[in-house]
Amino acid sequence: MTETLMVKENQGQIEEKQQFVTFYLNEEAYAIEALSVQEIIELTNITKVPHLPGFLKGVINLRGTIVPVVDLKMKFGMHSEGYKKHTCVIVTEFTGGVMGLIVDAVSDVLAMSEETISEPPSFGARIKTEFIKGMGRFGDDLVIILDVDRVLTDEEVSVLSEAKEAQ
Amino acid sequence: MDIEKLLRVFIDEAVERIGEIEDGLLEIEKSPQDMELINSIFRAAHTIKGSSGTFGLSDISRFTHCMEEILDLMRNGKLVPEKEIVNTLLEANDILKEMIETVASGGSFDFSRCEGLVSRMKSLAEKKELRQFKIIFIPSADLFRRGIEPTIIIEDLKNIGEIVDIQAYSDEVPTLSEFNPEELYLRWDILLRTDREESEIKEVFEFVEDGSKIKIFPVTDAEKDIPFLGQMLIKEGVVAPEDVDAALKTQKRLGEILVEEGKATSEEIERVIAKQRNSKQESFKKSITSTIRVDLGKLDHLVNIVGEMVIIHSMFQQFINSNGNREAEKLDLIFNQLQRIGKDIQESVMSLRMLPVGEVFHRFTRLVRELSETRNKEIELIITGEETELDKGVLEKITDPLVHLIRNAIDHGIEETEERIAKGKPARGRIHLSAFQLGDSVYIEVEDDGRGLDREKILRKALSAGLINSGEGLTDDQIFNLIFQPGFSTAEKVTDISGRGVGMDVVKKNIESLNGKIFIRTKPDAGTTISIKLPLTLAIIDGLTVGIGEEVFVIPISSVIESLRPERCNVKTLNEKGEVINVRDEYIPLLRLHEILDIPAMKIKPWEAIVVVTSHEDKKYGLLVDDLIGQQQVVIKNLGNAMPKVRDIAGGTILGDGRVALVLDVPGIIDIATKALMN
Repeated sequence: MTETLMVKENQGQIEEKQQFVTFYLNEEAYAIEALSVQEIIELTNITKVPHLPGFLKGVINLRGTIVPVVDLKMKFGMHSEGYKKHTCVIVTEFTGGVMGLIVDAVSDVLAMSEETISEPPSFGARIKTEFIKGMGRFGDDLVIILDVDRVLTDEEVSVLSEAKEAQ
Repeated sequence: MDIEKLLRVFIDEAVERIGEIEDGLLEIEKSPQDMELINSIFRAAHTIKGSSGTFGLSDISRFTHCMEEILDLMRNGKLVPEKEIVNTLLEANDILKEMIETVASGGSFDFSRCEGLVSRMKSLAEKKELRQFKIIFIPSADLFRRGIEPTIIIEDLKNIGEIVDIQAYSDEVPTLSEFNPEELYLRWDILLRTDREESEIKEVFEFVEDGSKIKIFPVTDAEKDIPFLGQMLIKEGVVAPEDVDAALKTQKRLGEILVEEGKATSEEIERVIAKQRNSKQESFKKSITSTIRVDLGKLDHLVNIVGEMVIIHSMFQQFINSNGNREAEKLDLIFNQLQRIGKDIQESVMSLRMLPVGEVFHRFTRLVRELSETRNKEIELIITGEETELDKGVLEKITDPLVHLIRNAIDHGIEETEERIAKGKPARGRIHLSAFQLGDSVYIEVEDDGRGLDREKILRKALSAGLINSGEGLTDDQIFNLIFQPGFSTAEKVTDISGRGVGMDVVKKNIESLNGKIFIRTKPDAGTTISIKLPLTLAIIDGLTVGIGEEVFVIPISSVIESLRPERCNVKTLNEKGEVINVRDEYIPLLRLHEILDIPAMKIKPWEAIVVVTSHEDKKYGLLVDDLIGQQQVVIKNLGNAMPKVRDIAGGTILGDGRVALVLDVPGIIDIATKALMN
């Protein structure tokens, strides 16, 4: 399901635009589909859960529901200086359930049309390109559009099987 | 999307109806005359037929139609629910269940599989016979004025069948002075033999229905053969027909007699008769309106928000307590009331998840019936306490273990009929399935009157399987509990019923995963009772909150025996393999939770920390934690679908300060830790 925003252009032409939530990891701008975002909350107390890979920071209480949280920077192997004032959690819904993403700051909600999104480049990024849905442009800046499903299911699957083996 | 939702509803409904059909069919053998029961089975089948047709599942619809045909014949008294018929219907019901399951999983059902069954059902349905109906016809007094001649109706009846007997009653005819020629004073009893349906007979009376009383009911073979006493007396020449008529005239209805004797007024009688008439209708209505089907997701959501409300209450309480002044006292008072209401709401919301165990118990009637047939044992299942309620989640998980226990009782517990007779026991074995509530726990017991557990056989088996080294020093209880060990099975021959490798160890595991316990009571030749103790709900448990490092964990109280701080001299290391503590001369293995969970601890020395003594499989283990924080009821939640299954952790809960605390999986921790020790 993709939410599409219908914007009426001058001559009654209709152009389809998708909405994205953009955020920062260190100085890099990233975006995920707005539709997969449930809400954005302040970073609260995280309860560590044993035996999990480091990027799976633990669980938080989201109004009575327990939600696991992932530190995206750790997941991507980026250097981190700990959590600061603007650090927040983007609660996303993906095929596997609900997951909180810890990011440095949330900046904006953007509407981008299909044409402004280009294929992911094949540079040797530290982020595996299969996580990237595309590159978006807004103004002069570039944003990396993430495929939430891929980001969260990729390694989770292997963690799951590890956990099973350990039992 | 909507269609899918509707389909979901259809499947849920169909599964429920199939359950009703099964329960009904099992019941019908006991009370074949219960028309209401046959009707309810018929309605259930009819509903499935109708709704599957609506969804374009014409094969299912056709299949159910065959079942419905038979049920319709039963409903009209044309077929007696004999064993063969009931068995066929049960078989069909099973297939129907499979069909619905296939629809639910999106697969396609191979309908060629049930061709044989369909033709068998059809042949059963075709066993139509001429039947007899008794018709009581009390026409409305104004029939003549409406221009209807009652004899024409009787002529019409002759057209659809043979009138075996007809009796006109003239007891209402007044004396000539009061006689009104326009009034009809007669009534008739008619015995009609026909191959037509009851509804077709009804059609004959279509035009006289208003104001008349017409009762049509099928006469079963037994009744048909026995003529009325009056007729017999006349036939035998004891009395003349006139005498019988005269005698019958003096006969009065119970109500009239009571009125005459002044025991009741006619208004009272009328009222009670009306009530009697309504009671059947009402009992049916009740079964419809007293329950409401709610999506489980919605219910769980409600449970969650109510749980959250309770947490906010305790946060509020903490805040009030830490800001003591005069105002606060008043606030506290009001707040206490709010909290009490909150607790009430929580309790009633939790009770919404509770279901009577009867729903599951009655499925076993079928199981016992079938298994005892294949094993050639005569076994009766007695069910008590079916109204006892359990959390839906617990109830679902308890079903498989119960199946296993009942199978065991049938296969191993209850002896062959000859053996029972030789022992002087009743030939018919008995399994008693019961449920009752005691305090905060629900007990479910499976009791058989069979041969009891064989102590020596269990010992031999355990020795040969290497479960124990010698039987010396073992109490009877310990020996009997060996049957819960993995790799134990006393069955000498493997049957299709039990002894398939999944043993009592699985049963025990399942029960323990529900925070329950399992006990055995047995006596040679008197029988065995397996008793299962379960917490009332899965979601709320009593927990001991403990601190390890910076984290707070919850240990379910059900597995805790005591907690203590050992003396330094009572902590020993065994062969560098592990540590034990001496508690009142009992050596208990010490498991360091911080090492098992791989997290930092503040207190490494056991004599500075706390040891929580827990029991698992009748052995004690000490869990080392930093501090005891307290004891409280906690609502267990899962850690979110996106969270991989983590070992050592059973779930999470939200503490009074809004933080998440993890609930420890004590049996899991001990299993893994002891395995690690052995290696």
